[in-house]
Amino acid sequence: MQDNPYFHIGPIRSQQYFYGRAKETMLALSLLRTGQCVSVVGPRRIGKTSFLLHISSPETWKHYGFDPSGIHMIHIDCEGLSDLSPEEALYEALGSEILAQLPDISYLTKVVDTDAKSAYFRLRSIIKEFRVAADAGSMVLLFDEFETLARNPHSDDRFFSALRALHTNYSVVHVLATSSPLHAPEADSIGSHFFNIFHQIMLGLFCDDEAFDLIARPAETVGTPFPSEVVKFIHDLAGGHPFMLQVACFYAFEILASKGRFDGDDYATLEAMVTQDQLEPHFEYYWSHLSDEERLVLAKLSTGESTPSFLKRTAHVLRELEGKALIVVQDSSYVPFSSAFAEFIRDRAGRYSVEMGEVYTSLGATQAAFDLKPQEFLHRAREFVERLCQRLDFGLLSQSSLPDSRLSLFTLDTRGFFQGIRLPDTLPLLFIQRDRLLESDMEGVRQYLVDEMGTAHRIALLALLGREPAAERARKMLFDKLRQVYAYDVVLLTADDWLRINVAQDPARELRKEILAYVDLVTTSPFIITGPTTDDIFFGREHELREITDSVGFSSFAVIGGRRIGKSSLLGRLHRVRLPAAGFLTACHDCSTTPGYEDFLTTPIRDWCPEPPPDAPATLGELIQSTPDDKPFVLLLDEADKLIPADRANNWRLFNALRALATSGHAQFLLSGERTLRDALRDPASPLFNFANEMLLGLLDFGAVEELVTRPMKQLEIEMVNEKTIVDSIWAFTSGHPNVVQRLCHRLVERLNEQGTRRIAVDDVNAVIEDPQFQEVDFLQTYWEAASPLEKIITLLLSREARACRLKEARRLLSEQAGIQPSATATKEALDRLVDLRSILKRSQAGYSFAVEAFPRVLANTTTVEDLLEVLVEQYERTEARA
Amino acid sequence: MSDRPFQAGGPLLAGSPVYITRKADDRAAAHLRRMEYITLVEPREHGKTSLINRLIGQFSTQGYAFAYRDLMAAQSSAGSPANWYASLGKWLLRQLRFIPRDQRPKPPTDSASWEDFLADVAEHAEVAGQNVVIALDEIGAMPSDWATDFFSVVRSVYTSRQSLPFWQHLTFVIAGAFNPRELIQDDTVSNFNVDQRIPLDDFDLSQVKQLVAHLDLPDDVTEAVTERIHCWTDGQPYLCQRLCLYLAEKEEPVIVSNASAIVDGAVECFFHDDTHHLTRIKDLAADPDLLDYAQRITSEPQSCFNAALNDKHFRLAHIIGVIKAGPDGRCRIRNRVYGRAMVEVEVPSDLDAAKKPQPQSRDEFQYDAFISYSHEDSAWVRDTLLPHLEGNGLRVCIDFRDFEPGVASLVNMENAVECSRKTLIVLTPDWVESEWAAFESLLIQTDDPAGRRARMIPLRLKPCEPPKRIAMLTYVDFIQPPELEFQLQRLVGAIKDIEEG
Repeated sequence: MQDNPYFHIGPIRSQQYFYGRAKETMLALSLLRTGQCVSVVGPRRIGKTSFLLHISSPETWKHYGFDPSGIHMIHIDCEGLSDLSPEEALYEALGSEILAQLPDISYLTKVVDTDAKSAYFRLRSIIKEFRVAADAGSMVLLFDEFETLARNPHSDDRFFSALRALHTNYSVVHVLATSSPLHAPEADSIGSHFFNIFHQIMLGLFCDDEAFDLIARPAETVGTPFPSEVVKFIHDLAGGHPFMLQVACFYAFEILASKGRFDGDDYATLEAMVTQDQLEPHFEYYWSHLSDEERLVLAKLSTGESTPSFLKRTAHVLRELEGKALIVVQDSSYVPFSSAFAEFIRDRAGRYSVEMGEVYTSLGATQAAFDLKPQEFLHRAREFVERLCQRLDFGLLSQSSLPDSRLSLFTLDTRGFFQGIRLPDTLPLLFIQRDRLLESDMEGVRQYLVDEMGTAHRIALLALLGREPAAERARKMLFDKLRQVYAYDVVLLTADDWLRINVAQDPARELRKEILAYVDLVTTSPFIITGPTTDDIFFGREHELREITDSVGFSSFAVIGGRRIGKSSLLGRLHRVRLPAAGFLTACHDCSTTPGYEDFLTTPIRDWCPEPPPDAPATLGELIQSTPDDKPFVLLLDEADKLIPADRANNWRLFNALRALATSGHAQFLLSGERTLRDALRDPASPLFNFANEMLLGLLDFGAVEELVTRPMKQLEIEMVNEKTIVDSIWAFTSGHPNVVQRLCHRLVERLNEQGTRRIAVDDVNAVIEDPQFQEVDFLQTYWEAASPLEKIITLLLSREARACRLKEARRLLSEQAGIQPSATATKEALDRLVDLRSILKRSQAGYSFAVEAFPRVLANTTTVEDLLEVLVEQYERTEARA
Repeated sequence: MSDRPFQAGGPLLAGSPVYITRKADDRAAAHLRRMEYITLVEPREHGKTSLINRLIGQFSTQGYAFAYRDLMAAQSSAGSPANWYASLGKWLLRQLRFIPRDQRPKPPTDSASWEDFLADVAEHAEVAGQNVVIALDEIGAMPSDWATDFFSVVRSVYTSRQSLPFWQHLTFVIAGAFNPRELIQDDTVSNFNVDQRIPLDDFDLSQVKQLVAHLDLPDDVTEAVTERIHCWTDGQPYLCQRLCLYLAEKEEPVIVSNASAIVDGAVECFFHDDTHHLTRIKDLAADPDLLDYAQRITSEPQSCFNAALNDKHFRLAHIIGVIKAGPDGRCRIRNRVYGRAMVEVEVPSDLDAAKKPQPQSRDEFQYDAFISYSHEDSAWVRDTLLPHLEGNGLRVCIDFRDFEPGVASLVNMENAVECSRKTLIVLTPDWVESEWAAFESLLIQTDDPAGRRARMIPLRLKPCEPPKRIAMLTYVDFIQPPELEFQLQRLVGAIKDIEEG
């Protein structure tokens, strides 16, 4: 059997087997000859390594009429340099490669033995010595797979400057092989003027002549020429891709050489061998590295569905794909570079939608789909839905047809799909057997919404067989006729939408994006501005959670903090998640509903975690009589301030009982509250004194704010342009008050909803921050929520002072500017509450100043200070008079 | 035209053709979908109950069961907390028909059983796949003795939702002219901060037009009528309906040229016929301090509207409804109708006379106002300002008529200022250019420049850079043509204010 003259493994080292690239070779040699640097750019497997070998071969130089003498080619495979550390090792490796590849290094012995100051100096000495010894000969460094070197963290600006210096000072010529142009963003990050010295040579697909040359000539050379039909077949199969051509030729030659002929069946055999066994992994690689947009364009091109307007809209994507050698121009339009690749795309893109496309792509484009009987259509639609479920990991809960309509209904189990978003776990999908939505169809949709949606659903998908612009009209109709009347969002999806979802790298995310682009964001927003935070949006407070979880087995805690600072959220988190996970049994009660001792004792316990124990006490009174003992037990009492006045009047009967339980180790308590609880904890006459560890809850740290902002936004598929600056702005303005942060985010979501976009920029954040409504209602009102008139007056007065104030100065301001003279103790207590409970002020040696730096600015922006001061002083005087 | 569907008085029912959708409708629907608590805090006759009716119409077919109760009605049947709670419970149960009669929970008798009652309702709703919305209207009528406990339970229901998911099937719509901060009046617990407050903004011009369209007038007449109604009402829903109703009943055909006059006539009819809507404004007579305060913050252009922080602003805006925030975030009178009603408020003479500003006697001055203007602006002064002031019974001193011939202009001017209680300055670039120098010398030469300055009222007719001594004064703005009538009325009020106290 003859030697196969085709190379499908490894680069072509023998120049007799190198075909094509004549133009590129000529250009490269001309540049190298004159000492200019070259960057060879081409996608993976296009033959860059072979090309480097080709242009570094003396035979090639001679073949093109150039003299190779005095030119020393040094090949550097950058794969080996990707993780070298430290930077010195890179110079060391380059020096070693040069020494290893130069033919005679005796004249360099001195350098090699010299203990140079650093590896770079050693490399430089090698090159200097080489220049002297080689007598004006030139050295060409060919860096293959250059990106891998660029990824080494040590190959920084300094390193690339050093390489450039070698070129400038010692005439070293660099040739880089990369898969993307050096000015591409990833190269930008390298950030060096090194990249300005290169002349770029693009390696793309072979033109037809080159491809036919590569197919036919090697076989002819060994005396086994391919019949012309085979040449054509191979060309069609592999296009102009040199590697794919080599593979196809290799197997075609095997068949031809073994049988001596090429029969009809051999075409199919060859196609199977080439595509399934050899090329598919490469196609998969390309596919997995494409953007969703690129996939969609390829899918359209492979099915011949692209319209001129689509091509115009996606011109930038087409350019990218052409640069990646995945498409070519044929008969004035773009097509995948080979029939095998086109087939692969069709398979991938349509694995779900095209197979079900009996319903969608194929039938949707013909009249046949509309003529199917409802049962038949339901059957076809079900095929699609089943595949969709497979693809997205959904369950199919039910199916039905709406009588006298063209609607087929499916209910999907989408558990986990909307994680973190306020949407139910089921998703209705309606199929409409039309390519456009008619007024008469709306009645069916309405009927469905009324009869079927109930409270279990909030959105429905409506699948339409048609495309734009019918879809746009349908969307408008749904919006106008349904959104104003019904409490549901109906998201319309067309064949194009399904295709895009199917070809996406993460189809579930694509569908989620599609849904979230249309639904009312305010309804789905996970930001909590009223009540405790849900578990999926609880971030930070790790230190507090850990301390309580670690110690609550033997010690009770009182969580003290201002309103909306997150006390209930923290208790909830401990109750539902952290304490049960640590082996505790917990029960939780909101004391604001039980004003008196008797009320408290007779209150039923509803809220146990992880679950009520056997023979669980029914009421809090029973619980105090007999605490569960199968697990360590913690009772969480939210709003505990409420209990204190009545219990104090009742000789502390309740807290004495609770304290006894804690002391005896039968139970521990987690109390949350504010001023009243804090005062009681510090009152030696109360049983709360020394009863529980006091834990002050303040503002969130930056990390928690960052998560609180970015995670839900990502869950809502909202793009944040310049995320860091956005988070910094929010942090700087809110100072980390969890409720203010969420209110700001909620306003952002409302703004996007109104604008119909899903993209936040810093300008949006600034617009919300500067909105007087936000500043007054969400910022000031939240920070000041439980502040007394005196606390507010002090804040107003301090906001006009540019410096920190001590107690004495605060009293002077109160007297001079507000005309009131509270006692020193009352003023001091108010100042301390502004620090500990409101988190508005901070203490320092200089006195009290604003911890929330935006506060004075907001007050000045949104209020008429004198006017507000007057009203607050009235309130203060009324309060004093009552007292 | 009397068969038009306008309705002035009583809430609109769901599906009423004259219901005008506002931003609040979308927001309320969005919050209800999330089963958030909703509060509608607005003065009476502002569309709260109509919005609730609309929500009922919209959501009832979608798995939501509504139970509505007007607490004003509940109050009359109360006597004790137990009766009040029981009456409320029975009333709500009557509307929650998805709960089988034999499984209905016992009506509550106090706050503890109120929580149990709600828990039973929510559990039934969860089982039945329903969402229950309890709409409590006229919440201001809630007896304050047990309001704190009542709302503490309502608040706790919300905050317990995560641990006890059945609570997610129950929500509240709370409406009325009330201060949410006063629902829970107990410093030891969190206040009622679990609600989503939905402001019911006045109609904008396009929304007024939607309403006027029901008069079936030609387009250009609809435009003219819309503008005039909006000019008087600034979109206050009840007033808009009321004026449309007058127009619908009018026999006289409305054309572009008489549209304004007919709407003005309707306003006069309204003032004549109104028996209740303006009562809360007239009642300000009993609180002259608040009346003064309202007049002050709406005449000082720098007063920020701070209803969230300032209880007086809240009361004036959301309980009485006489002020609101202007587009610049400053306090302003809600509309010209209310502005006129305020001007006409009569403070009873026996009410703390000491507190009332002491009027300067009318007889002390020969004129109520002297007008200083540039002759470039004489057309406006002669044709608009002068007739309006004199039409309102004011005695006006004006140069072309009242200056003594043969006397130096400056002397005439000084006499006019001295003899007039107010000096009106028609501020335009021309006045600053031609008149200010003379005027300034008048101010400087007097023994009491501050007193003279205090009696000045600048009228801003054209944008200009006023002199510093004038810039500090509160001006009446005539730059916006649609505001003209309103500002003239305001000016008359300002002149009469001193006169009548």
